[in-house]
Parts: sequence; structure tokens; C-alpha cells
Amino acid sequence: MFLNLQNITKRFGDLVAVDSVDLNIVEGELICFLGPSGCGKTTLLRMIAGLETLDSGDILQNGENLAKMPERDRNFGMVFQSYSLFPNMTIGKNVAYGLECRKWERHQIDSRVDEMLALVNLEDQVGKIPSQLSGGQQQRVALARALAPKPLAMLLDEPLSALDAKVRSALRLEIRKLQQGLGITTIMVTHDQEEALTMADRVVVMNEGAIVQVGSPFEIYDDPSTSFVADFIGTMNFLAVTTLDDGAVRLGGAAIKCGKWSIGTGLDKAARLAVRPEDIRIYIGSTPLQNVIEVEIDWIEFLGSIYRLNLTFEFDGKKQGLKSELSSTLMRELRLSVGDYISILLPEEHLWVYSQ
Amino acid sequence: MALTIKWPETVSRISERHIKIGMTLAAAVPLTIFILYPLWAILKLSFQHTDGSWGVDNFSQYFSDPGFVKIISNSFTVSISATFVTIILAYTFAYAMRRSSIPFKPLWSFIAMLPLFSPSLVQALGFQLLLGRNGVINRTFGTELDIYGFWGIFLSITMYALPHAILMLSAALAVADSRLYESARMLGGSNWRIFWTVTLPATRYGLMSAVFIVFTIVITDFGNPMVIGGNYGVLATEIYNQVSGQANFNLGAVIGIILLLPAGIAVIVERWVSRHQSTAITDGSVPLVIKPNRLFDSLMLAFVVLLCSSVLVIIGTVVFASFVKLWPYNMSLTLANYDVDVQGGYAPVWTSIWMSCLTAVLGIIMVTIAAFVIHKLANSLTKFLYFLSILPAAVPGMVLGLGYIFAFNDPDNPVYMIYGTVLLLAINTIYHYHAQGFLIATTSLKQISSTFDEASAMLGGSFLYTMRKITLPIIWPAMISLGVFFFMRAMVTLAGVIFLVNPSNNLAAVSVLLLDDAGETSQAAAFSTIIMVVVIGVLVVSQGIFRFFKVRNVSLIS
Ligand SMILES: Nc1ncnc2c1ncn2[C@@H]1O[C@H](COP(=O)(O)OP(=O)(O)O)[C@@H](O)[C@H]1O
Ligand SMILES: [Mg+2]
Repeated sequence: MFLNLQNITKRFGDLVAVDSVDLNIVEGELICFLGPSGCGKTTLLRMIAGLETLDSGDILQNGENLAKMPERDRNFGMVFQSYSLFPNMTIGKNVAYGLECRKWERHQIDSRVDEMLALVNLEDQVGKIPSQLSGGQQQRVALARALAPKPLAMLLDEPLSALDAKVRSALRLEIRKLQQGLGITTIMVTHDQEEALTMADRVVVMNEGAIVQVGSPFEIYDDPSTSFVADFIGTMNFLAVTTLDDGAVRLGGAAIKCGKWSIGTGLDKAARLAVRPEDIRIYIGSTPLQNVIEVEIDWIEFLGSIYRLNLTFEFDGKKQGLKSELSSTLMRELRLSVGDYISILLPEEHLWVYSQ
Repeated sequence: MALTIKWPETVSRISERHIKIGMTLAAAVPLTIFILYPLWAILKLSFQHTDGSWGVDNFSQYFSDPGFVKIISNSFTVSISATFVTIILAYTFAYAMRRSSIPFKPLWSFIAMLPLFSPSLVQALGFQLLLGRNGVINRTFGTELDIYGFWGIFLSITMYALPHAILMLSAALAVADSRLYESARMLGGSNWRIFWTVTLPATRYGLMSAVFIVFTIVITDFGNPMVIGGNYGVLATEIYNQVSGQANFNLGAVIGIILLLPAGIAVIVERWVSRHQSTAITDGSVPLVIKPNRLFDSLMLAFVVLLCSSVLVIIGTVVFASFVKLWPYNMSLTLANYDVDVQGGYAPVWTSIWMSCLTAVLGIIMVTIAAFVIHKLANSLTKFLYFLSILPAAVPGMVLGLGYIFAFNDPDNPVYMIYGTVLLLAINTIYHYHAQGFLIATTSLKQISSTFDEASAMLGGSFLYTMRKITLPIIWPAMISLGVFFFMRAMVTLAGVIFLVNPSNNLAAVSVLLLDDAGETSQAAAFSTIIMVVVIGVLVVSQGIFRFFKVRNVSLIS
């Protein structure tokens, strides 16, 4: 275990920014703190960095307590959201800064700077000043600067959020490759789920200062432990239901069998049924079947390779809607149009039940 | 947002608190002593009768005297007229600089700024030399033009306020989103219509701010009405007469309070207005590209040349008169006027330079500490300190100077130790111009985003290393420009220090007034010229330093 966060809490006045967090970070992994803005990700990262003091709890690095160690001795490389390259220094000087602080020999510094700039493909920019570079280039310099002193870990706070979409996806890949190539333990903060899912070995989903779920990207997508995670990661339909016994819920007039329960079963409790758009299937048969309901097509959106359908159904005067996704090929065969009534199958193994 | 500050390693966690408290005190104590206390003293005195009892008699006595009431109405008449004309001229000038393609823009800007580089009364001196009783016009053409009074004050004060207004309005006109102009044109708007519907509304806050700032400058100006006001009394000269002439301090305090009110209201409104400013331009804005337009550009050029010539004629007259034997009778050239034989010779010039250097150095230190504490320590006290820091914008120099007499000319007060010294003159100047200096320092501190400190610390840099390698290299140009600002103001200020100078430490700007008063107009002109040369010299040297170190984006004139 590289880093061990034990019961960490941080308050700003009355606000609990980070609430009793326990987490183990493994050597060499890229772990991502993901959550909505203001949920405490940055604060948690800054406590690990040593830029923020803990109100309670401990951080252990390979068993050693970091509490008394100031940030400059921790040897973590940090990349800030706003790049924060020193505007009065050239790119080369920026990258050399950490090495000069560590009193490296001049020739060692020079060769390390060349090496780092080559790593981020900016060898030819060594003499420029930060404002002469594009945002993406500046962020790569920031990476090179953070990595130059051979840090024990790399901390990234929303490193891509100030960049435009194209640069962002290119740099996403670059950072991941760099991280894997060096095998450096990396903690990244983001509010962008796509970024977290594509880059991380493990994702830590946070809400209101607390950890909600930790798992691989696939796990948190495929098996969200709470409705918050289900809602935050990917797209999810939520439908109001009441529970029946024997692992089923009542949706409108139909009984629907559900595979995954996050609440205890019991009769007649109000609950939420969750299903992802891509898991909804069109049912063409005519014999009634378990978990099939009839819906009206309210709207059709063409998104290129797929179509998105807005479906509605009504029961007891209460209207509910859900989204589903169909491949373009299937759509062509079925010739659906707005106003059509169709039957859909909600597959038991992809249905979650969460509390209200 | 509260910013965390990284302290040196040797500083333990407990004494970090002490340092913060110490710094807060270092900001709070001088602000209280040198701004709040003198104002309190003047307020107190205005309610104290000559026999020592308390009440509003001073005010009722003042307002029951028709002569005094006339002075109030004079002040407002001339100030409102001058503000109105200044704003129109300055807006047109700034528009020509920002929105037309006339040639030699930097030259015109420099000429229009000239009145900033000399004591305010130089304008009055120039008009006097040209149009006064013994002016060159009346003497040459045998006319009987009488410039003294309303017209003299109006003309000289307008010229004096012009550069201030131009600076503010240029800033307002500098930014523009060309998309707005394109869509206005696509909708078929004529240029005239676009001006009224796009340009003017986009600059309305800047315009309103300028109106109030100019009004404050104009109503509190003292030098010009002193020289050219004749029998047309205004509030600023009346304070001087009451205090210096008749030693009626209580009445002086009353007039001070009356003068404080309009200036105070103007500044409060300006603050309120400027809070609504600067939201119009977003990241997606496209800068305006100015297209040449023959007719429009010629009109603008004609206006600019006319305005700049007027400034040059007035200031040029002063400079020229300083080299003339006996204006306007004997126009042969001489250096005799620079051989000043009254008022302590050149001593006031050296005192001024020494005082200005002191003001620059102490000003940088005091204002930076205040800005640092207020923006980076953010505690319960700092809101009040912020108020104190910008309060001087509303306080006329004469009122502050008068407050200093009441507060510190008292052997029981510790500050009495430096009463009558150059140091107190420098302190008075710093706090007189504290608001503007504070804004300059704040802007430069904001440049160092707190993440630079953090980035440096994460890379292993110590507090002192960060200071030396990052903080100072980033902010020194702004510090220099802050120093230049204080130096310039200290060289030319008159209103603030007029009550505090004494024969042993007279200042150059005050000498100009005294020499003129004594009828030594040519020597007054010589002194004014020396002041201008020193100020422009300092500007040129600083500009040279900036050029050498390739510093951009730092303006020396503000
Ligand atoms: N220095 C601070 N002082 C007071 N409140 C803060 C400070 N830093 C963060 N907060 C508050 O703590 C909460 C968590 O902030 P942060 O960690 O920045 O969230 P995130 O990075 O997830 O968007 C927010 O409500 C924020 O307003
Ligand atoms: Mg954040």
C-alpha cells in the first residue's frame, strides 16, 4: 500500500468539505477522484499534497505518517488546473525549477530538462516563455515540470478542464501513456466522468465530502452502489415504482422482476427503478411476457450511429418517461416513427432498485 | 477566497499566527492614525465653539452669512460647468485615440498628459501670463480682457482635469466587442446611430465614473482658484483664507466638512457605479478593428490637434516665460529667473525631491502591506481596513492637511515628534493618494496567483527562494510604477501639504504659489518648469528601465 488515508476530515467553518474518508492507494495505479463540483475532491487532493492541514485523521505513506512533513519535502509532483507556470521564466527554467531547489548539478539539470521536454514533445520550445504557448502545450510543460524531480507520486487537479475538447482527448491519452510508461502512482481529480472512465485504473466517486463508491471504471458503471452513482455515471432512467414481494416491483400496471436490489425487499414501499438506455430492448413478439410494457414514442433523435427514443407511458393519470437507444441498423428495419406504440423489454439482470 | 500563505520553515505553527497578527497591525495602525484620526479631529473641531463648548453654532454661523453661501454656489457653478466641458472634450479625445485611425497617437496622448506632470496651478499661471492684466494679449493689443474669476478658474481647471478624464475614458473605450458592431451594421444602423446605441451604452459606467472623479478633482482643486480666482471665492480657497489668513480653525473645519460632503458623495457613487463595470467583455469577444474613414479621421485629427495645441500653448507659455527677462514688457531671453533669490532659493526643489523619494519608498512599503493584508489575510478586520484604504479618494487634500494640524500639532500626541518634518509631509502625501496607490498595488498582487506559491512549494522551493525567484521578479515592475506614481504626486501636490510646510522645509509646488503671490511670476514659471523637468525625467528613466528589461503591460501613468 503506497498511501493510506485514515478517517480524514476537513472543515471550513461549518462546512464539512471532506468527511471521514478512508482510502488505500496502490503503488503505480492511476486513481481518479470523481464527483460534482464542490464535493471536496480538490480539498482531499490538497491534503495529500500537504497544501491543506487535516482537521482529523492520518495520511500514511508506506507506513510513515505525513502529518509533520511540509509539502516541499513530500516529493509529490503537482499539476494545477490553471497550469501556473512561472510567467517570468522560460519553459526550460520552469522545468529546471524543482531540480534547482534540490541543488542538482548544472549538467544534470540540463540533461534532465532535455529529457523531460522530449518526453512531452516540446524540445523545440525550451527558450520560449509560457504565454507564447497554447493551453495544451502549457499543460504539458506543467507535467514535465512536475515530473522532472522524479516525484514519488503525481497529483493532478482537473488538469484538462481549461482546454478545449480536441486537445483534451489527445492529452488524456498522452497523460495516461506517460503515467503507465513511468509506472508512477497518480491521483487525478476531475468532475468529468468520461475522463475518469477512460483514464483511471480505479475511480473514487465522491459526494458531499464523502466517498460513495470505489471501483474500476467498469464496476462503477455496471454496478453503481447507490442511485447517486447510477445517476452521476453515464445516463440512467429512473422510474417511480412500488415494491412487491418475490424480487419484483410494480411499474404502472405491470409487475417487473428486478435483478439488483440496494434496499431490503418488502411490500408496498415507494422505490426507484433504474435502467440504462442501452439496456432497453424492443419486443416484437405478440405473446405477453414477464417485464414487457407498452410505451408510446414521444420523440426520436438521430445521433449518427444510434438513435435516441424518448418513450412515455401513462398509468392512473400519471405519465412517466424514459430514454432508450437503438442502433441505426435496427431502427431502419423497424421503421418506427413518432406516435407509434411499441413494446419494450426491461431485462431483469439490468434493473436496479434504489430507495426513494 | 482565502489564500493560504506559506511561511518560512523556521517559523513554527504558533508564531505563524503572530506574524499574521503583526502584519494586520502593521496595516491597521498607520491607516487609523493617518486617515481616521485626522478626519475625526476635523469633525470634532467643526462642532466645537471658540469658547470650548459643543454644538452646531459654527455651521449656523456659516450658513447665515450670505457671503459664505455665495462661495458654496460659486464652487458648484464652476465645478459643474468645468466637469461638463471636461467630460465632453475628454470623451472626444479618447474616442479619437481608440476608435479612429489618426497618425501620431502616442504623441497626442503624451501632450494631453502634460498637465499631470506639474502642480495644478501651472494651468492658471499659463492663462494668467497670456490673458491676465499684465498678460501678453492685453499688453500687445491694448485690450482689457479680465480673466480673473469664473472664466479663469473654469479654463485652467478644465485643462487640469482633462488628463485624468482622458485616462479613465480611454480605458472605457479601449475594450469593444466587434461582434456587437457587426450585428449593429448588419441591422442597418448608421454610424451615428451605432454610436448612440452601442458605443455610448457600452461605456456608460466608465463615463459615469469619470464624471464623478472629475467633479471631485475640480471642486477640491486649490492651486488654480488661488492664482486666478480673483474675487470669485470657492470653498477650497476659503478654507485657506480662514485658516492661514485669519487663523479661524473652527470655521476652517466647517468648510472642510462642507467640502468633504460633495466629494464624498461623488466618490461613493463612483464606487457603486464601477462595481457594475467590466462585465461586458467575455472570452468570446472579438477585438474591434478600426477601419480608416477619411472624413471622420480628418475631423478627429483637427480636434486632437486643436486640443493639444491649447495644452502646449498654456504650458509652453509658462516654460517660455521662465526664460524671459520681464514678461511681457521685455521678451529677451535670460536664465536669470532660474537664479532664484527669494523663498530660500533652490532649497524647496531639493526638499521636494527628497520628500518625493521618501514618499515613493514609504508609499510602496505602506500600500503594499495594506494591500497584502487586505487581500491575502482576509479576516474580520480587513473589510474595515479596505474602507479606510479607499476612503482618502473622498477626502480633499486640504481637508486631510487641516486634519493633520488638528490631530498632530499637539505635544501630547506622539506624532508631534515628526510634526513639521519632511517625513510628515511624505506621510501626508502617501495617505492623501492612498486610494489610487492601493488600487495599483492590489492589481499587481492579484497577478501573483496563489498557485505560484503553491507550485513552487510543491517543487521544493522554500519561502525565501520563492520570494526571490518568483514573487519579486513578477511584481517589481508594478512596484516601480507604484513608486513613480507616488513620486509624481509628491512633486506636484499642493493642497495636501499647504498647511504643513514651514519656511525650513518648503516644497517646490508651494514655492510656485508663494512666488506668484509675491508677483514674481517669472520665477514661479521657472520653478514650475523645474518640477516638470524632474517629473518627466523620472518618467523617462523608468520607461527606459522597463524597455531595457522588456517589461510590458505596466503603465507608468495612472
Ligand atoms: N479555503 C477554503 N475556505 C472555505 N471553503 C472552502 C475552501 N476551499 C474549499 N472550500 C469549500 O469546500 C467545498 C469543497 O471544495 P473543493 O474541494 O474545492 O471541491 P471540488 O474540488 O470537488 O469542486 C466547497 O464547498 C468549497 O466551497
Ligand atoms: Mg476542484
